[in-house]
Amino acid sequence: MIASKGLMAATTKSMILSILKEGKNYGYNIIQRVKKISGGSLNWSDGMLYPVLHRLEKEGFITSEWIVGDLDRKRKYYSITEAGKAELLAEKESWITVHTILSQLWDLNPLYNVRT
Amino acid sequence: MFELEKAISKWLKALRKIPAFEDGDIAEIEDHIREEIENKHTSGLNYEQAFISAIQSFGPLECLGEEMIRSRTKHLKIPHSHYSVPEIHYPTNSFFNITAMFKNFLIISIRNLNRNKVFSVINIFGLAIGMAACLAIAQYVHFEMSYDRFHKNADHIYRVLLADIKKTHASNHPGTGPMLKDEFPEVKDYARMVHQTIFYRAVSTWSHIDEYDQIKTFNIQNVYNVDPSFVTMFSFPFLYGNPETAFTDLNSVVISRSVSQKFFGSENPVGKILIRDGYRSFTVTGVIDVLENSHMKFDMLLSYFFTEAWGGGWSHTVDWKWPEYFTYIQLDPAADPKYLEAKFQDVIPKYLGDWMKAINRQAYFRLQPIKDIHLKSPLLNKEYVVHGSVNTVNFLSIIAVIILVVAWFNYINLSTARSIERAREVGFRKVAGASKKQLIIQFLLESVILNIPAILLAFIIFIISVPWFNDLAGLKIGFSGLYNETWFWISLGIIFMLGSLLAGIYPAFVLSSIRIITVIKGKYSNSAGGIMFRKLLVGGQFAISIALIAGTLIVYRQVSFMRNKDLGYNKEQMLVVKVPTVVDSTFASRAESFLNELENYSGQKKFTVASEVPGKWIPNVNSVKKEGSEEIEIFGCSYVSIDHNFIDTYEMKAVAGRNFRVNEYSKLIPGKIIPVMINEKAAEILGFKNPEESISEHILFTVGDLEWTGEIIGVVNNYHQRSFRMDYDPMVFGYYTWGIQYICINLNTGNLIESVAYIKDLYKSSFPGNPFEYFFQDDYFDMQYASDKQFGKVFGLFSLLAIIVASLGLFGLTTYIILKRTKEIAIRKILGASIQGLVILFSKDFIRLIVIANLLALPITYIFVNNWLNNFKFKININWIMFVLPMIVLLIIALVTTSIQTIRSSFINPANTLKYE
Repeated sequence: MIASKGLMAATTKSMILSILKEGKNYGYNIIQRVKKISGGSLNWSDGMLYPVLHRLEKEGFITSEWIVGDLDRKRKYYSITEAGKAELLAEKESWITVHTILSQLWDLNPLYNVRT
Repeated sequence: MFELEKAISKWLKALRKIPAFEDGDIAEIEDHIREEIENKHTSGLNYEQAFISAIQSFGPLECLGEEMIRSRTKHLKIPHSHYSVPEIHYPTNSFFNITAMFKNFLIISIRNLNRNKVFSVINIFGLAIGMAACLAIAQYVHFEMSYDRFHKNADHIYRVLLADIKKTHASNHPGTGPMLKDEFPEVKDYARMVHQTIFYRAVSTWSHIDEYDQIKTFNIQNVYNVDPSFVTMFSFPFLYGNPETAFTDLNSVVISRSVSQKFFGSENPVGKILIRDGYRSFTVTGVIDVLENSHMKFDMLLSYFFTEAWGGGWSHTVDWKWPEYFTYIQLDPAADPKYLEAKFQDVIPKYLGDWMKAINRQAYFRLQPIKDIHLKSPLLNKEYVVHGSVNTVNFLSIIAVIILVVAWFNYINLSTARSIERAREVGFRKVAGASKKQLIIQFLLESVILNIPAILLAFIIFIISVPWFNDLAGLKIGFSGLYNETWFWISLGIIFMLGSLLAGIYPAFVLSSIRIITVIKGKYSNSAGGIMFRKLLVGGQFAISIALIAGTLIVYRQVSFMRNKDLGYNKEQMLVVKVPTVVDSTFASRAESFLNELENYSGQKKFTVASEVPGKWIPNVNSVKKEGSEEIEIFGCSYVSIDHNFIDTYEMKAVAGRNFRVNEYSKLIPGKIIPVMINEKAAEILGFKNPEESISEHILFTVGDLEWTGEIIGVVNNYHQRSFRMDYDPMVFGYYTWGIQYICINLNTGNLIESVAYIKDLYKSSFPGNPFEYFFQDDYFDMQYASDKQFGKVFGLFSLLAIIVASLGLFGLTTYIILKRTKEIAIRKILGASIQGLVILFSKDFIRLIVIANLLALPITYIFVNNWLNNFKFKININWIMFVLPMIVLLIIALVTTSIQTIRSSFINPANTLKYE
């Protein structure tokens, strides 16, 4: 299954914030995490992550810092802020609400499964 | 073979070209790509495959750039369909960017000035000359306009002129001032001023005896009697004494700073005694600073009510019969002078009825604002001081502007002519995104930058030359205070701004309008319109130069004409000695022995005594009519006392009748008809058909309020009593009628110094206590033309400057044009052109311009010059040479300039010029 472009755009924020809630991380690794969890069902082009990261940083949900790692390579790490955590919570609630509504509509709940 | 590093850096380079990515972004993306490549490589792909896979999964850069910008700018709407370079908004109001821009403009401007040294020098030098000339003239004009403005009441003080249909007199009747104050409440106060010559004599001798009995004696000429209100109504600064009490005593004298210096040095002279002509004592009550910009110039002021002639009292019988008194009134600030002038007409008949009947003309009073007197007193009768002329002021102002305009023309010409060179620069700037506005600012700035050294140089030239200039122009301006004057800095600023912007604006528009496409195609050349415009400017410069050369020539010719024309009398080797004024009872015998000694002196041809000498205005003017005539034929007639030797000494002749005989006195004795001579002009005005007809006729003339009868015994040839500006004066001569003032000696020796020394010794021993004052008639005569000569010199100087500046421009332009045509010269030479042929070819344009300019300039010059010459009653005839000569001069300048340039250019080996490009 491949998610539509619009849906992907809508979910990116929540996904990035969720991944960063686990701990500070950098762009490439964030992408790899998404790919791994989704099993390839969410097909992002890698580059598209970066504008989203910038926007989140600008909005104050995440911060960034350059850290010099192995082989003297500089790498930009992102971490979630308190505002980011609050935003994630709000997102979570929205998604659960949407999820609940859609689940009921599509009879995914076994209690409503009588007619089938 | 695939090289990973090369591939990565190439990809990153493409990334960098997208303005959306900042350095930080690129580093982050590079990190991403490298890690992806490593991972793919680890999973089994080779580097090339790993690289391709990595950049593919990274996605298209353009879309990414778009997203990147969107992530940074909240409201920016970018069409999704394709990626476009976002409009970049440079923060134009940012201080740093503007400084950077101006810094760049500055560097470019300075480089340009440096690269084209000849043009820069011509421009800067020309502008500096123009500006310096402007400053010099500005301070002159400012000084001329400042006359009489220092009086506190200057706005409300007027001089009351006496006018009839034919003439306007600067002076008025003695009764006018008091009458106006009585009759009109608007008249707050009045002050009269009359020269001592009217009551007494033109020059009086004053002495001071100090506490050591040392005597100091000087002849003083400008002695006036004034009302006590004179010193309070006007605001002459009192260095010592109090204006309120200066004339409470009739025997008071107020002296000028220079007279005070002569007698008392730096001491305070108030309370000290000055003795007039050896017998009359006056007490000094004040010292006045007679400012240079006052139209009234005086050495001493006596009380109006002290008049020797009336034995100390004032005779009211002359109140309305003696129009020799300068009368000033101070009006109420609310009064309307025009309305008042009209109201005067109601009362004039009451006072001047008899007088108007006698001259058979209506009289008027005119109010002349005191601030107008210096510059706007056109040919008033009976004016004592020579005033400035508003024409001269206007004329010099025009010349100043002309020089500046010529210099600006140079700048416009040279900078637009160079537009071909600048075209490439403009093209590049435009490609790089410079707007037309920015380019105009740049070229205007260049003009400003060129004007900075020019104005500094102008300032230096001005400072160095202004004392010399003021000396040349006969100005006594206190120079030191100039820098405190606001007007000076304002005019400096105006000249600078006008020069920078006015001259800069045309080249700025021309240069900024250059089209990129024509430059890139290599097709840029000067437009026909531009060339035409430049020709117009050069033609204008030629026309100005021609007009100025012609003008200078004509002024010079007129001045030399006046100095060399036959005057009707001899002025060479004529020594004039002033008669002694300090006299006692032994004077008669002393005078006789002096004259006898002089008679026996071999160094003299002939000598005479007289009340007046040629070369000056004679203040004793009287009305004259034929016996039996109803109307006064001559309103103002000069009366001169002479002796029987006057005519021979001055080498004049009696054209009809005879000369005076020895002791044929014309003393004014009631009832006696006195013998008189008249001149040809008087005979003509009196209505005699020829001089002979007047012989033995009787004339009636007035002195003060009395009428006398004279019998004409002879007619003297017309001679120029005054400058050539004036017509011959009608004159009447009497034998020792009154006041002899001069002994005139026609010397026959080559050794003038020896003669003067001999006569001085003789004078000193004959008249002890009298200063020996003398002058030579020719110097005295020349003094009348001092202002004309000065005008000629100043005019010549500025004309020369204008011509130099124009020639500089011409030089610059020809240098440039020929430089551009070097290749053409080379080809023509190869094809066999001769140097003469080349010179003719390149001069042709200029010659045509000069001829056209000449045709345009001449009518205008003719009108101006004719106008100036009309100031002179006796003048040169304008002939065609005076107009052709300037053209020839200009042709020579143009030909020499082009020839030098062409010849220099044609000596270059054609191979050298042609091998480039």
